[in-house]
Amino acid sequence: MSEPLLEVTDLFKLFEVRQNVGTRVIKQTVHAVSGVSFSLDPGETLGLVGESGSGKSTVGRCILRLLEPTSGSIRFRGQEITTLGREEMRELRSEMQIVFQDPYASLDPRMTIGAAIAEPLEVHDIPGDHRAIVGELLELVGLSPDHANRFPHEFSGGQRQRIGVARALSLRPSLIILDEPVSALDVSIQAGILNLLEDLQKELSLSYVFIAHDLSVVRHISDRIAVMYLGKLMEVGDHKDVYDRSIHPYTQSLLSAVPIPNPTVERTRKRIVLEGDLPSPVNPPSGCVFRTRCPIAFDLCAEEVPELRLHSKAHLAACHAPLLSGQSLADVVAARTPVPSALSDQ
Amino acid sequence: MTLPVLSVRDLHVSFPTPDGLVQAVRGVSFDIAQHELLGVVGESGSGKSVTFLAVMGLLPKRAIITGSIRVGGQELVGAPDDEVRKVRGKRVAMIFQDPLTALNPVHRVGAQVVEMILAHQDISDDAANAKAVELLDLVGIPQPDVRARQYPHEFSGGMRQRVVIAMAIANSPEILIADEPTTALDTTVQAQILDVVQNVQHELGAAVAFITHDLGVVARIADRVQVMYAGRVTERGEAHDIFLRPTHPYTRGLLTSLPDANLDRLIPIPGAPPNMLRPPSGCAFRIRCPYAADVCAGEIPELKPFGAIETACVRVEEIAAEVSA
Amino acid sequence: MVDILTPIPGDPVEAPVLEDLEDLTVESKSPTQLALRRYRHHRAAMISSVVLLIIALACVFATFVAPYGENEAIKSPDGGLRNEILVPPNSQFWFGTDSIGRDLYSRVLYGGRVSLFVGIASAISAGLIGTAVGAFAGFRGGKIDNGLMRFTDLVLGLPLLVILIIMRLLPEKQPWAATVLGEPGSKRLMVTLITLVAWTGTARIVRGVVLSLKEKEFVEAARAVGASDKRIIVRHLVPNTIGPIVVSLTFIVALAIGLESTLSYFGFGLSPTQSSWGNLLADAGTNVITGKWWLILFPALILLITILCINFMGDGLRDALDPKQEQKVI
Repeated sequence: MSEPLLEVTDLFKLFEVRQNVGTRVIKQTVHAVSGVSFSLDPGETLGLVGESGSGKSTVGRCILRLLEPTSGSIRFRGQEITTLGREEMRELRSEMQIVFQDPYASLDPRMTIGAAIAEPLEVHDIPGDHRAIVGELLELVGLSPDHANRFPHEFSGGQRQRIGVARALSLRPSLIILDEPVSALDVSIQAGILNLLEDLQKELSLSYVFIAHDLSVVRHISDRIAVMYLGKLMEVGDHKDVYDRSIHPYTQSLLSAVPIPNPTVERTRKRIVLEGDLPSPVNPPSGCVFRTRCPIAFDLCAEEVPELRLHSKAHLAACHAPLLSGQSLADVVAARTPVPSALSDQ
Repeated sequence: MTLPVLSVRDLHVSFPTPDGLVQAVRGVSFDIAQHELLGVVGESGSGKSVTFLAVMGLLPKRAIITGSIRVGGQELVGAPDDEVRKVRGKRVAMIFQDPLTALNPVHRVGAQVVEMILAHQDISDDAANAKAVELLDLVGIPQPDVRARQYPHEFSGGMRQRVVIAMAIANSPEILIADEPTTALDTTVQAQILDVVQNVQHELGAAVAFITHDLGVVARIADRVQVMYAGRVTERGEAHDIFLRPTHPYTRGLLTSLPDANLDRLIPIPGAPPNMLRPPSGCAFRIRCPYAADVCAGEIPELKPFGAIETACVRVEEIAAEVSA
Repeated sequence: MVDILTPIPGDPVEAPVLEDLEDLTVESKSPTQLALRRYRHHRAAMISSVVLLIIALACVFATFVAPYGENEAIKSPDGGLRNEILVPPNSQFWFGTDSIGRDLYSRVLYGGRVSLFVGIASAISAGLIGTAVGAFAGFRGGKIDNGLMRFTDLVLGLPLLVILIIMRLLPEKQPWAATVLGEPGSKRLMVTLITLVAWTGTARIVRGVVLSLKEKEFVEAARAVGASDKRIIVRHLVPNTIGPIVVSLTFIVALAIGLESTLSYFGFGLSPTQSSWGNLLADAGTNVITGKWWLILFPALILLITILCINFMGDGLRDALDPKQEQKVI
């Protein structure tokens, strides 16, 4: 059994914000990430899924220490990285890189793309002909080396993302954090980028943490999926388990809310429409953070925080009353409430 | 067949820019009837938003608009500004993607709805206030009388979008245009808002144009679907037909590029949407089309019926034969 | 480690890379070139640039362009000691002459040198100080940012002319101030004083730009790679702030010229021996009431046109550099 590439244990990230309430200034704490633990094996893709406020992007940035974790442990190849000094961390950065969401903001508009891709090579004093390396990287991502002297504004969104990927690859990392890499792209372009990412993963033995809110994209590319809500993990498991046999009410609600591009299926399936809004991460609900919108919450959910527990092989959920594998939340709710309230049937 | 409430014929919209003329819409025609929800699908450069901004009369002065836009028989293209203003907000209303910018942060929410009402209806302030609370209730805002007195920043994204919808339907418009209203919202909130839109349409009996790039959303709520590419309509038909038996290579490409757990490898559409400064001759999609032939570079294909669907592809019969073979 | 230099086997669907080239413009244009092109389309700015260039060249080359000397009192043609004083504009003296008989047109040209020098010098030094303060505050953030911005607010809050007048009087009374800031009535003192009050605008702008850039993903990307703060500032922040800085400098030039003229008019500016436009206005003094309109009109007009042109150019630059202009139409 090979050791995991990345091990995150009990990660916490809290932000202090100052809010102006009337005439006073109140200090509040945003609980962006509250005790997240997971691991990533070499060559694996872990999909990190959640809506806004889930903390998924924050987790990604903490792994790279672009944000400093408030507490918790992050081990890369067995080495604890949260305590590394600036110089040691800098060396380690060549092993882990990131691709950002916004193709229009992730490239410096005043640098040619060749310079942007070569920058990591310069920062780390990599020997060799940088121009040649940049050229090879551009070809690797499906662009032409002739493009190196052009500026970002001359490229389409999809092409810019490819450039971002090329830049992330320049130091030959083993881990890449992908923070919503296709969310800002047109649908017909997304597929091309996803294929590229999969091909590169095979060719270069990369491991990915793929952060996204689009569940169908995450499902396609991930080996395992972790579902986050308001800073906590709700469910973790193999992609088939989380999708087809989810045992957590939030995951099922989320899946239910994603419209399926097939009218016959979409209009006849039973859906769960969650009421209300996502609570603020400044004041997360006590106990289970999902309980305020959970159709099957009960008293224990307000009193005790559910631990992320193993329910079957490598399938974990944080819930006091998890569903059975294969059980539909919509059915459970319908059975309980003869008068449909939180449930939408079509 | 009910009379169309919105009737657009041969709409062309161009923008002069320092780099040249951007041809955003290049000959678009369609109808929307009462009680009907037309899902308008397209990617960047498709012209889907510009088309409906033209219907609303919200394009900048420098835009060059030709063609016909009729709302219940009244022609809007070339009409004087004050006539267009009377139509906008009263007979045609629009909701946009970002609820934050649609609402004035320094006015209470209820007051903003009232403002919309009083702009087009000659009723007393009290009556307007009562109507505003009714509308907020219709869009599913709990405790509408209390929340009407709150400011936009006290509402979440989904709630704000509901307020925007309430403002849009304040004058019972015949046509409601929704331009990507759920794109910026969380998935679980999007589901709620789609319910609200359908509810509202049912109550008003309005003709709705729902613009989106999300095919799932279209599958859920659209009666008919109109696919746009490079400023033109490429395919149009009933939602079931479009999804299950698409005829145009672009629609096919869109559907097969969606992540589907059964496919090992996704099938993207190669290339990228064209630059509308210099759209390709003939069929703009031919550069990315796996079935492109020399004939495609000739005339721009018109929408023609093919079975139950209208398609703008000159090779549609050959392709259909090839696919089923 | 797999050799990264081996490309992925060609996927037929990925092959049409060349199609992408159709999107690219034939000629690669850097963002600066694009901004220049947008500037050229701004009619008011272009006209102003031309007009200002003519004025500036005429002033700089005053020695060749001006028909008479800066302080030359022109004798009457019929000999004698009487000078050609207070002559209204005619074919010989385009702008007329002043109370000592000096040609106003020549004085305006020479005066332009002084005024323009004060304007540009003030802009450069105020710009340097403002940029340093703003960049430091923006980049460091936190308490440093707070402290510097409160200081900036303090300076901004001071009544401008009063302070300038007071500070102008200081070197007169205190010799040490004269050495440090400049002799009373000197250009150096003028530039110093204006700099001391004008840097705040640039500081604010630069801080704002740096703050927004700091959050941009391309800066995060540089950090993710391990780039040092110095590298981020030099390679990423500075090139992206130059645009707003230049715009800010432009407006400082206009401000400085205006300030100098005002101060000189009231006698708190440059010494009367220097023919700055403000001093020309001061010379006009009460002569306007007695009907010698040309003494006020021409200096005032040239001031107005110059400041207006600079402002239009600033507007043009600002619009040209506006990132929103770079977004696609649709």
